[in-house]
Amino acid sequence: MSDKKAILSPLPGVFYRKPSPELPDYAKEGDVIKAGEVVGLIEVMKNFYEIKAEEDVLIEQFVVENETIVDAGQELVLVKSQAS
Amino acid sequence: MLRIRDGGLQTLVQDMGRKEFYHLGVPPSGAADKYSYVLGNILLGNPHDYAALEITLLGPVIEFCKRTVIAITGAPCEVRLNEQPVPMWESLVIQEGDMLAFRMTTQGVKTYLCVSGGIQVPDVLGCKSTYVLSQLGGFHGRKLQAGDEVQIGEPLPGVFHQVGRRIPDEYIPAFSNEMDIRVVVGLSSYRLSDEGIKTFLNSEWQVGLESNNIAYRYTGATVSFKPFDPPFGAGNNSSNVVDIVYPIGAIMVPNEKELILLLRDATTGGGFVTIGTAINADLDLIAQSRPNTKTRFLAVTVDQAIEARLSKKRKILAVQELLR
Repeated sequence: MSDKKAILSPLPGVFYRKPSPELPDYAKEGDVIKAGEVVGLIEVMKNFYEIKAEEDVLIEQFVVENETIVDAGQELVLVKSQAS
Repeated sequence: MLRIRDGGLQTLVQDMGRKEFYHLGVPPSGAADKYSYVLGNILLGNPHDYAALEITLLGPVIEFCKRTVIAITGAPCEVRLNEQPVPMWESLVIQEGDMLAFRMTTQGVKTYLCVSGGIQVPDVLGCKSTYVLSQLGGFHGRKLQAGDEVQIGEPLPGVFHQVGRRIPDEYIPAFSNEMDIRVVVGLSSYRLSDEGIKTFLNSEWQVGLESNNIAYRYTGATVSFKPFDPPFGAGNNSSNVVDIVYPIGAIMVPNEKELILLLRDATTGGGFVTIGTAINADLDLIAQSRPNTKTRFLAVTVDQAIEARLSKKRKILAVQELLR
Protein backbone atom coordinates (compact mmCIF):
# COMPACT_ATOMS: atom_id res chain seq x y z
CA MET A 1 0.00 0.00 0.00
CA SER A 2 1.39 3.36 -0.91
CA ASP A 3 0.44 6.40 1.00
CA LYS A 4 0.20 10.05 -0.19
CA LYS A 5 1.90 12.68 1.89
CA ALA A 6 3.30 16.19 1.69
CA ILE A 7 6.71 17.41 2.78
CA LEU A 8 6.15 20.69 4.64
CA SER A 9 8.52 23.62 5.08
CA PRO A 10 9.59 23.88 8.74
CA LEU A 11 10.61 27.51 8.17
CA PRO A 12 9.51 30.69 6.45
CA GLY A 13 11.95 31.51 3.65
CA VAL A 14 12.91 30.98 0.01
CA PHE A 15 12.61 27.46 -1.42
CA TYR A 16 15.35 26.23 -3.76
CA ARG A 17 15.31 22.98 -5.71
CA LYS A 18 19.05 22.93 -6.43
CA PRO A 19 22.19 23.34 -4.30
CA SER A 20 23.40 26.26 -6.45
CA PRO A 21 22.21 28.00 -9.63
CA GLU A 22 24.53 26.10 -11.98
CA LEU A 23 23.90 22.64 -10.51
CA PRO A 24 21.03 20.27 -11.38
CA ASP A 25 17.93 19.88 -9.19
CA TYR A 26 18.23 17.67 -6.12
CA ALA A 27 15.27 15.60 -7.31
CA LYS A 28 12.68 15.48 -10.09
CA GLU A 29 9.06 14.45 -10.24
CA GLY A 30 8.93 10.67 -10.65
CA ASP A 31 12.19 10.06 -8.75
CA VAL A 32 12.30 7.63 -5.85
CA ILE A 33 14.50 8.97 -3.05
CA LYS A 34 15.68 7.42 0.17
CA ALA A 35 15.05 8.56 3.74
CA GLY A 36 17.49 11.35 4.61
CA GLU A 37 18.04 12.48 1.01
CA VAL A 38 17.67 16.17 0.25
CA VAL A 39 14.74 17.43 -1.87
CA GLY A 40 15.42 21.17 -1.57
CA LEU A 41 16.73 24.05 0.52
CA ILE A 42 15.07 26.80 2.52
CA GLU A 43 17.01 30.03 2.88
CA VAL A 44 16.08 32.33 5.73
CA MET A 45 18.07 34.83 7.81
CA LYS A 46 21.11 34.13 5.58
CA ASN A 47 21.14 30.45 6.55
CA PHE A 48 20.31 27.45 4.37
CA TYR A 49 18.40 24.48 5.71
CA GLU A 50 18.22 21.17 3.85
CA ILE A 51 14.75 19.69 3.45
CA LYS A 52 15.07 15.92 3.66
CA ALA A 53 12.72 13.00 3.06
CA GLU A 54 11.78 11.32 6.34
CA GLU A 55 11.30 7.95 4.64
CA ASP A 56 11.74 6.35 1.20
CA VAL A 57 9.33 8.18 -1.12
CA LEU A 58 8.28 8.62 -4.74
CA ILE A 59 8.17 12.31 -5.67
CA GLU A 60 4.77 12.98 -7.25
CA GLN A 61 4.78 16.76 -7.58
CA PHE A 62 6.62 19.90 -6.52
CA VAL A 63 3.86 22.17 -5.25
CA VAL A 64 6.07 25.29 -5.23
CA GLU A 65 8.58 26.35 -7.87
CA ASN A 66 12.26 27.08 -7.43
CA GLU A 67 12.92 30.40 -5.60
CA THR A 68 9.35 30.73 -4.28
CA ILE A 69 8.87 32.46 -0.92
CA VAL A 70 7.11 30.04 1.43
CA ASP A 71 5.70 30.15 4.93
CA ALA A 72 6.39 27.77 7.81
CA GLY A 73 4.08 24.77 7.47
CA GLN A 74 3.47 25.27 3.73
CA GLU A 75 3.41 22.19 1.46
CA LEU A 76 6.53 21.89 -0.70
CA VAL A 77 6.41 18.45 -2.31
CA LEU A 78 3.72 15.79 -2.67
CA VAL A 79 5.15 12.30 -2.21
CA LYS A 80 4.03 8.70 -2.05
CA SER A 81 5.48 6.55 0.70
CA GLN A 82 7.43 3.58 -0.63
CA ALA A 83 7.33 1.69 2.65
CA SER A 84 5.79 -1.74 2.16
CA MET B 1 29.30 17.55 27.59
CA LEU B 2 26.60 18.09 24.97
CA ARG B 3 26.66 15.88 21.88
CA ILE B 4 24.98 17.66 18.98
CA ARG B 5 22.88 15.23 16.91
CA ASP B 6 21.39 17.92 14.66
CA GLY B 7 22.43 21.58 14.68
CA GLY B 8 19.07 23.07 13.62
CA LEU B 9 19.09 26.18 11.43
CA GLN B 10 21.63 28.24 13.38
CA THR B 11 22.58 27.37 16.95
CA LEU B 12 25.30 29.59 18.44
CA VAL B 13 27.12 29.96 21.75
CA GLN B 14 26.30 33.43 23.10
CA ASP B 15 26.76 35.46 26.26
CA MET B 16 26.63 39.19 27.06
CA GLY B 17 28.99 40.01 24.17
CA ARG B 18 32.38 41.71 23.87
CA LYS B 19 32.18 45.32 24.90
CA GLU B 20 35.62 46.83 24.61
CA PHE B 21 36.56 46.44 20.96
CA TYR B 22 33.89 48.43 19.12
CA HIS B 23 36.35 51.26 18.41
CA LEU B 24 38.59 48.69 16.71
CA GLY B 25 35.78 47.52 14.45
CA VAL B 26 34.74 44.43 16.44
CA PRO B 27 30.99 44.41 17.13
CA PRO B 28 29.78 43.01 20.47
CA SER B 29 27.76 40.02 19.19
CA GLY B 30 26.17 38.17 22.12
CA ALA B 31 22.61 37.05 22.88
CA ALA B 32 20.20 38.82 20.54
CA ASP B 33 17.37 38.79 23.12
CA LYS B 34 19.26 39.66 26.31
CA TYR B 35 16.16 39.65 28.51
CA SER B 36 15.19 36.03 27.73
CA TYR B 37 18.83 34.91 27.92
CA VAL B 38 19.44 36.52 31.32
CA LEU B 39 16.18 35.12 32.75
CA GLY B 40 17.39 31.62 31.80
CA ASN B 41 20.57 32.15 33.81
CA ILE B 42 18.59 33.62 36.73
CA LEU B 43 16.39 30.49 36.84
CA LEU B 44 19.53 28.38 37.30
CA GLY B 45 21.22 30.70 39.78
CA ASN B 46 24.01 31.20 37.21
CA PRO B 47 25.79 34.55 36.97
CA HIS B 48 23.87 36.60 34.37
CA ASP B 49 26.67 36.38 31.81
CA TYR B 50 27.18 32.60 31.68
CA ALA B 51 27.20 31.38 28.07
CA ALA B 52 24.09 29.70 26.62
CA LEU B 53 22.99 28.28 23.27
CA GLU B 54 20.99 30.65 21.06
CA ILE B 55 18.61 28.83 18.72
CA THR B 56 17.21 30.48 15.58
CA LEU B 57 13.73 29.47 14.26
CA LEU B 58 14.46 25.73 14.10
CA GLY B 59 16.19 24.03 16.98
CA PRO B 60 18.87 21.39 17.46
CA VAL B 61 18.76 17.85 18.84
CA ILE B 62 21.14 17.46 21.77
CA GLU B 63 22.29 14.46 23.80
CA PHE B 64 23.38 15.27 27.35
CA CYS B 65 26.41 13.34 28.59
CA LYS B 66 26.15 14.69 32.14
CA ARG B 67 23.42 15.03 34.79
CA THR B 68 22.62 18.73 35.12
CA VAL B 69 19.87 21.38 35.31
CA ILE B 70 18.73 23.48 32.35
CA ALA B 71 16.28 26.27 31.54
CA ILE B 72 14.74 27.07 28.15
CA THR B 73 13.58 30.64 27.52
CA GLY B 74 12.86 33.00 24.63
CA ALA B 75 10.73 32.34 21.55
CA PRO B 76 8.03 29.71 22.12
CA CYS B 77 9.26 26.41 20.69
CA GLU B 78 8.08 22.83 20.99
CA VAL B 79 10.76 21.02 23.02
CA ARG B 80 10.83 17.32 23.83
CA LEU B 81 12.94 15.54 26.40
CA ASN B 82 13.16 11.84 25.48
CA GLU B 83 10.03 12.36 23.33
CA GLN B 84 8.04 13.97 26.18
CA PRO B 85 7.08 17.67 25.93
CA VAL B 86 8.78 19.88 28.54
CA PRO B 87 7.90 23.40 29.69
CA MET B 88 9.88 26.55 28.95
CA TRP B 89 10.72 29.28 31.53
CA GLU B 90 11.27 26.59 34.21
CA SER B 91 14.36 24.84 35.55
CA LEU B 92 14.46 21.16 34.52
CA VAL B 93 16.68 18.29 35.64
CA ILE B 94 18.46 16.37 32.89
CA GLN B 95 19.88 12.86 33.35
CA GLU B 96 22.99 11.55 31.66
CA GLY B 97 21.98 10.15 28.25
CA ASP B 98 18.83 12.31 27.92
CA MET B 99 17.92 13.54 24.45
CA LEU B 100 16.58 17.08 24.11
CA ALA B 101 14.92 17.88 20.78
CA PHE B 102 13.84 21.38 19.77
CA ARG B 103 11.45 21.79 16.86
CA MET B 104 10.47 25.04 15.14
CA THR B 105 9.59 28.21 16.99
CA THR B 106 5.90 29.04 16.65
CA GLN B 107 6.38 32.76 17.37
CA GLY B 108 9.51 34.86 17.66
CA VAL B 109 12.95 33.83 16.45
CA LYS B 110 15.43 33.21 19.28
CA THR B 111 15.11 30.46 21.91
CA TYR B 112 17.77 30.04 24.64
CA LEU B 113 19.09 26.92 26.28
CA CYS B 114 20.86 27.80 29.53
CA VAL B 115 22.79 25.14 31.45
CA SER B 116 23.89 25.18 35.09
CA GLY B 117 27.57 26.17 35.08
CA GLY B 118 27.27 27.59 31.56
CA ILE B 119 28.47 26.48 28.12
CA GLN B 120 32.26 26.19 28.16
CA VAL B 121 34.21 27.41 25.15
CA PRO B 122 37.44 29.44 25.22
CA ASP B 123 37.12 33.20 25.73
CA VAL B 124 38.02 35.25 22.65
CA LEU B 125 38.52 38.98 23.30
CA GLY B 126 37.03 38.55 26.74
CA CYS B 127 33.84 36.58 26.06
CA LYS B 128 32.33 33.43 24.60
CA SER B 129 29.93 34.99 22.06
CA THR B 130 30.03 33.92 18.41
CA TYR B 131 30.72 36.47 15.67
CA VAL B 132 29.98 34.28 12.66
CA LEU B 133 31.09 36.77 9.99
CA SER B 134 34.67 36.76 11.30
CA GLN B 135 34.54 33.19 12.65
CA LEU B 136 35.40 34.61 16.05
CA GLY B 137 34.57 33.19 19.50
CA GLY B 138 31.83 30.70 20.36
CA PHE B 139 32.32 27.10 19.22
CA HIS B 140 35.11 27.40 16.63
CA GLY B 141 33.52 30.66 15.45
CA ARG B 142 30.56 28.90 13.81
CA LYS B 143 27.09 27.48 14.27
CA LEU B 144 26.81 24.00 15.79
CA GLN B 145 26.46 20.97 13.55
CA ALA B 146 25.84 17.25 13.97
CA GLY B 147 28.81 15.54 15.61
CA ASP B 148 29.99 18.56 17.63
CA GLU B 149 30.83 17.94 21.28
CA VAL B 150 30.32 21.04 23.41
CA GLN B 151 31.68 21.22 26.97
CA ILE B 152 29.43 22.39 29.79
CA GLY B 153 30.37 23.54 33.30
CA GLU B 154 29.92 21.50 36.47
CA PRO B 155 26.38 21.98 37.84
CA LEU B 156 26.49 24.73 40.48
CA PRO B 157 26.22 23.64 44.15
CA GLY B 158 22.60 23.35 45.27
CA VAL B 159 21.10 23.71 41.78
CA PHE B 160 19.37 20.31 41.95
CA HIS B 161 17.31 21.61 44.87
CA GLN B 162 15.98 24.43 42.69
CA VAL B 163 14.50 22.25 39.95
CA GLY B 164 10.95 23.30 39.01
CA ARG B 165 11.47 27.03 39.67
CA ARG B 166 9.46 29.04 37.20
CA ILE B 167 9.46 32.58 35.85
CA PRO B 168 6.13 34.18 36.91
CA ASP B 169 3.83 34.66 33.89
CA GLU B 170 3.85 38.47 34.12
CA TYR B 171 7.60 38.46 33.43
CA ILE B 172 7.42 36.22 30.36
CA PRO B 173 7.62 38.44 27.27
CA ALA B 174 4.82 38.46 24.69
CA PHE B 175 5.80 37.47 21.16
CA SER B 176 3.85 39.09 18.37
CA ASN B 177 3.83 39.46 14.60
CA GLU B 178 3.27 43.19 15.02
CA MET B 179 5.98 45.27 16.68
CA ASP B 180 6.28 48.85 17.85
CA ILE B 181 9.96 49.81 17.97
CA ARG B 182 10.98 53.04 19.72
CA VAL B 183 13.63 55.17 18.03
CA VAL B 184 15.52 58.36 18.76
CA VAL B 185 15.44 60.30 15.48
CA GLY B 186 18.77 61.78 14.56
CA LEU B 187 22.38 61.49 13.49
CA SER B 188 21.76 62.33 9.85
CA SER B 189 17.96 62.57 9.73
CA TYR B 190 18.44 66.17 8.43
CA ARG B 191 19.27 64.55 5.09
CA LEU B 192 15.70 63.24 4.74
CA SER B 193 12.90 65.54 3.62
CA ASP B 194 10.20 66.43 6.19
CA GLU B 195 7.87 64.23 4.18
CA GLY B 196 10.49 61.43 4.37
CA ILE B 197 10.64 61.58 8.18
CA LYS B 198 6.84 61.60 8.39
CA THR B 199 6.60 58.58 6.10
CA PHE B 200 9.22 56.74 8.18
CA LEU B 201 7.20 57.25 11.37
CA ASN B 202 3.70 56.83 9.93
CA SER B 203 4.19 53.77 7.77
CA GLU B 204 3.94 50.07 8.45
CA TRP B 205 7.23 48.37 7.57
CA GLN B 206 7.84 44.67 6.97
CA VAL B 207 10.80 42.58 8.15
CA GLY B 208 12.78 41.06 5.25
CA LEU B 209 13.64 37.35 4.99
CA GLU B 210 17.39 38.06 4.98
CA SER B 211 17.32 39.83 8.38
CA ASN B 212 19.68 38.29 10.96
CA ASN B 213 22.00 39.07 13.90
CA ILE B 214 23.93 41.50 11.71
CA ALA B 215 21.02 43.64 10.60
CA TYR B 216 17.28 43.73 10.03
CA ARG B 217 15.95 44.92 6.70
CA TYR B 218 12.59 46.63 6.33
CA THR B 219 10.57 47.57 3.26
CA GLY B 220 7.04 48.83 2.71
CA ALA B 221 7.28 52.59 2.27
CA THR B 222 9.34 55.24 0.49
CA VAL B 223 11.33 57.85 2.41
CA SER B 224 12.61 60.73 0.30
CA PHE B 225 15.96 62.48 0.68
CA LYS B 226 16.48 66.24 0.51
CA PRO B 227 18.33 67.54 -2.51
CA PHE B 228 21.93 67.81 -1.35
CA ASP B 229 25.43 68.51 -2.61
CA PRO B 230 27.61 65.84 -1.00
CA PRO B 231 30.59 67.33 0.86
CA PHE B 232 34.20 66.28 0.31
CA GLY B 233 34.69 62.78 1.68
CA ALA B 234 31.14 61.56 1.13
CA GLY B 235 29.98 59.30 -1.68
CA ASN B 236 27.92 61.04 -4.35
CA ASN B 237 24.61 59.23 -3.80
CA SER B 238 21.85 61.01 -1.81
CA SER B 239 22.13 58.23 0.80
CA ASN B 240 25.83 58.94 1.53
CA VAL B 241 27.45 60.94 4.32
CA VAL B 242 31.07 61.32 5.39
CA ASP B 243 31.81 58.07 7.28
CA ILE B 244 30.64 57.91 10.88
CA VAL B 245 30.61 55.34 13.68
CA TYR B 246 27.21 53.63 13.66
CA PRO B 247 25.56 53.12 17.02
CA ILE B 248 24.02 49.67 17.55
CA GLY B 249 20.38 50.06 16.56
CA ALA B 250 21.22 52.66 13.88
CA ILE B 251 18.63 52.72 11.09
CA MET B 252 20.37 53.32 7.77
CA VAL B 253 18.59 54.47 4.64
CA PRO B 254 20.68 53.00 1.79
CA ASN B 255 17.98 53.97 -0.71
CA GLU B 256 14.47 55.45 -0.53
CA LYS B 257 12.76 52.05 -0.47
CA GLU B 258 14.66 50.27 2.27
CA LEU B 259 15.77 50.56 5.90
CA ILE B 260 18.65 48.59 7.42
CA LEU B 261 18.66 48.40 11.22
CA LEU B 262 22.05 47.40 12.63
CA LEU B 263 22.12 44.78 15.40
CA ARG B 264 24.89 43.38 17.58
CA ASP B 265 26.92 41.70 14.80
CA ALA B 266 26.86 44.76 12.54
CA THR B 267 29.58 46.76 10.91
CA THR B 268 30.74 49.47 13.32
CA GLY B 269 30.89 52.34 10.86
CA GLY B 270 30.28 53.54 7.34
CA GLY B 271 28.88 56.24 5.11
CA PHE B 272 25.10 55.78 4.90
CA VAL B 273 22.51 58.27 6.10
CA THR B 274 21.01 57.12 9.41
CA ILE B 275 17.49 58.37 10.10
CA GLY B 276 17.50 57.36 13.77
CA THR B 277 18.54 54.74 16.31
CA ALA B 278 16.37 52.02 17.84
CA ILE B 279 16.56 52.29 21.62
CA ASN B 280 18.56 49.71 23.56
CA ALA B 281 15.47 48.48 25.45
CA ASP B 282 13.82 47.43 22.15
CA LEU B 283 16.77 45.57 20.56
CA ASP B 284 15.44 42.30 22.02
CA LEU B 285 12.06 42.87 20.35
CA ILE B 286 13.72 43.51 17.00
CA ALA B 287 15.76 40.30 17.23
CA GLN B 288 12.55 38.39 18.04
CA SER B 289 10.74 39.77 14.94
CA ARG B 290 10.11 36.97 12.45
CA PRO B 291 10.40 37.64 8.73
CA ASN B 292 7.31 39.59 7.51
CA THR B 293 6.59 41.04 10.98
CA LYS B 294 4.72 44.33 10.65
CA THR B 295 6.75 47.05 12.33
CA ARG B 296 6.06 50.67 13.27
CA PHE B 297 8.74 53.06 14.46
CA LEU B 298 7.78 55.42 17.28
CA ALA B 299 9.85 58.53 18.02
CA VAL B 300 10.97 58.99 21.65
CA THR B 301 13.39 61.34 23.40
CA VAL B 302 16.78 60.33 24.80
CA ASP B 303 15.33 60.69 28.33
CA GLN B 304 12.50 58.29 27.47
CA ALA B 305 15.03 55.86 25.97
CA ILE B 306 17.13 55.92 29.15
CA GLU B 307 14.01 55.46 31.31
CA ALA B 308 12.98 52.44 29.18
CA ARG B 309 16.44 50.93 29.63
CA LEU B 310 16.36 51.45 33.42
CA SER B 311 12.85 50.06 33.70
CA LYS B 312 13.97 46.91 31.88
CA LYS B 313 16.92 46.54 34.26
CA ARG B 314 14.56 46.95 37.24
CA LYS B 315 12.34 44.22 35.82
CA ILE B 316 15.28 41.79 35.66
CA LEU B 317 16.29 42.65 39.22
CA ALA B 318 12.68 42.13 40.37
CA VAL B 319 12.63 38.61 38.85
CA GLN B 320 15.93 37.85 40.49
CA GLU B 321 14.55 39.01 43.86
CA LEU B 322 11.40 36.87 43.43
CA LEU B 323 13.43 33.74 42.70
CA ARG B 324 16.02 34.27 45.39
